[in-house]
Amino acid sequence: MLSKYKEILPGVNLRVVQTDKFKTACFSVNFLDKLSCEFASLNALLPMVLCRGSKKMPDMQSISEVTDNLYGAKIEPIVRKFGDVQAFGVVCDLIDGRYTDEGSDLLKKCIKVTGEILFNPLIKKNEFLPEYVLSEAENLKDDIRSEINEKLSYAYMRAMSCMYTDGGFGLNKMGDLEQVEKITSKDLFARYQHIVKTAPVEIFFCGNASFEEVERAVVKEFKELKGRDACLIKISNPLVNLEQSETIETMDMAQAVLLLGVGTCITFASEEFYAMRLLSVILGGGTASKLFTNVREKHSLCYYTGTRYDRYSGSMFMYCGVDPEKVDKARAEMLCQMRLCIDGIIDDTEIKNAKRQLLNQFKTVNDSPYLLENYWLNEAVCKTEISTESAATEISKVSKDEIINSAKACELKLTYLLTGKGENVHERKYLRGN
Amino acid sequence: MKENIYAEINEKTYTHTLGNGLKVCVIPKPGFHKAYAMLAVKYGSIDARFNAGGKVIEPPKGVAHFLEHKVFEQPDGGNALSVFAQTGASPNAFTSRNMTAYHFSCTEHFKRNLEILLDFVTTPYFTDENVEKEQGIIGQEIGMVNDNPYHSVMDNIMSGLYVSHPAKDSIIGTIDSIGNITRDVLLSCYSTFYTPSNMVLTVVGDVDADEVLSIAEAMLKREYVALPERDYGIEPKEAAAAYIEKKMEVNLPIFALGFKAGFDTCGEEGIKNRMTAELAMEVLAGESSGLYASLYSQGLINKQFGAGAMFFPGSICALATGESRDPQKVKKELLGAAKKLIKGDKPECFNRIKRASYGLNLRSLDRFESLCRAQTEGMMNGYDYLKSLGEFEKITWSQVRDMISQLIDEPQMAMTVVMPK
Repeated sequence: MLSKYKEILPGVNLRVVQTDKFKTACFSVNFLDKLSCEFASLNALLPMVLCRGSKKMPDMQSISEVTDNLYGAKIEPIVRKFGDVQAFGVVCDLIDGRYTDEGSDLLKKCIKVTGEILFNPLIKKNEFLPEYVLSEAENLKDDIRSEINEKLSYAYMRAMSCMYTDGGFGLNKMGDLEQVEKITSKDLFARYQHIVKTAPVEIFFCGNASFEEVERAVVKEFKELKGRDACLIKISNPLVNLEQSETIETMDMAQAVLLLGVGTCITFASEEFYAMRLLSVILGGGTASKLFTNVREKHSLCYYTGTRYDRYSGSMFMYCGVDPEKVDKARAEMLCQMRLCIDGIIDDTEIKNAKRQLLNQFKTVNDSPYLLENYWLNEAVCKTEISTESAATEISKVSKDEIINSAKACELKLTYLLTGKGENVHERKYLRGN
Repeated sequence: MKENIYAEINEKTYTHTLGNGLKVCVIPKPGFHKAYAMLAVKYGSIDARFNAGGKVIEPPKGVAHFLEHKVFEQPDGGNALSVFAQTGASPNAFTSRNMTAYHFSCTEHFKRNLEILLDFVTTPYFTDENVEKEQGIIGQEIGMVNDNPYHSVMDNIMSGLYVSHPAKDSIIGTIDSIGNITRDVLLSCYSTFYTPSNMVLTVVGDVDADEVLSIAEAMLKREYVALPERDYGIEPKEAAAAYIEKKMEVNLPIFALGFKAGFDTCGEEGIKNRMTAELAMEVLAGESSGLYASLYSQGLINKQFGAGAMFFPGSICALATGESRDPQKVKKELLGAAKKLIKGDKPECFNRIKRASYGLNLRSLDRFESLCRAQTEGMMNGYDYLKSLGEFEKITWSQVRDMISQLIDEPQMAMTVVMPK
């Protein structure tokens, strides 16, 4: 598996992971921007509108006609969030040309179609087609509103926004309803022109083609990215001195979701990064973790529980889905497990198991084009170029003391509870005492 | 072991059936770090009524899923999950309507992990206390799925479609039904279904097939045990309920449209029916269909919309699900599109949709979990999934049209909607 990364056009980086072990290939084009109230929704809407039609393929059916014949290649809009950086663009998922009549032409054709969608949009008098903008804006609003359907991810997003009221860390990757409301097809087109001229672009390919082959096809089909003046986008430093707070929100639901937000200030750029990752696994990364074995297995309080560590903001959330009646008990138990880590009550087996689990994850990344895509986009946004092998080496070097030190950086900052409407929420007060 | 070669898609398998009836399949994947193994028991939530030793047994609903949780518990008081933690493997399990499966993925110690898997599934340990503890955990799992509108809409569509087929019931059971599960119930269901003759072991990865076989041989040394007779009832042609609505806190109405029809789903005929049904749903309502484009451009569906099929013994269930401001209009257009296809000539999109579906199937071969599950499902039902991929090309328009005409008919249809409060 050969991996190569280089700037191929001004502000345009290409990462190619060359391998013939997959039947699938993955090609993605991501524009980067700082996540902001002002532009988040515009940026998120952009690829959705572009994928509705281009000059040569003016509607979805004509795009399907082309992509079906490319053995069901799928070109889909995508928007992601890495800390306070927003990455938006398209992912093209295709099969390896070896299994088709097209051979290596299949990839070239897919890159050409992707270029056509991204850089030859359907425009009328300096704006996107208003009907496409309108209907995709409706879809974007629905996507934002539908986040309530998945209770845990909704609660996590709400908790992030409660914890980070300033800056971009707490913002939704899709922006907000108010901003979407205001978008006109003219604004969106202006934004598009600005993005094409200035946004850093991260292009990724994993499959059976060399860096040079992909580079040639990209340079040929993405002419609009030549001679541009790209800006630099960086993740902000983590916020220190967060206030301690609590938020209780209600919704019509039977089970409550509890999240405890912990500020650590340890990010991907910190020395303690790998120790912190291990701590998160020991505390709540899977079925051998402290939270799972105690909150679920020992006390039978929940079905799911775990931790989620965000390497950009340096926050870690402990979460569980619990009977509203038993929230207090679950909260106390989760804090107790965190306290054990801070007090150094972690045994060697737990550390060994956590290391194994992470090493397993790093190796597994190399078995999937999509995991590789996400891994390397992460690295690109962080401006680091750490391979899964080097990351694995770093993990194996971490000592118990380093893990305990990272636990000592943990401070409870937020209690967030999403619970049923019938709950008497006023009786809950956590800040008075744990 | 028997070597089977699928040259077109560059895959091969090794298969063997042991004397005790266990079916073993290894799909080698040279160059991959990850190995994935699944021990599946042909015991799902639909196996709710059966005749064992001359007695008809109908245990509380949700028992297959309850067993899945409990099988991890070990006689020494430990839990198989923590044994796997020592080897760095990621274990998990699921219960579907058709099977219960225990699986792990790992990047090292494959042999040891396989031994752990085979050992824990074959050494149950049920006590009154650990059954009671699990009622608490599964109670919370029920709470979680009941709060999920996508889950509700799927549960309702099954109960809307099926009258007597146990596919109508939710996999997980209810708080009441799991309250009636006892240690004895678990033991009786375990001993009836958890026998090698009712299991399939499938492994995907860069592993030695003979080693897999010899571990299975050494660890599952039980005699061949005859299987119980399963009773799926006699299912009428008509759906149980045309429309079921539930109100939840959602933004847009979430809907499912389901159609059922009696079909053979086992053996060579079965796999042909399965593939034809999947292709039929792609042609009717897949992303490349005229219907999809029309619904999307009218703002009646969004990217959440999907169409596909599910398979049960003796029955195919076709589904279209999504979010819409006007689910009734989606239903009307879908029925209209089906009528048009049934009456019309081969649509121009047929060949390209077939080509795209081939691409889609091929992509699934890189995903160990789905490949393993598809191959397992095939071995349980008497067909070879990988071989069927090569036969896809042979499906004709007239077969697809017949499938649409047999499936998509109003009396066989149910619709369920989760409405915003």
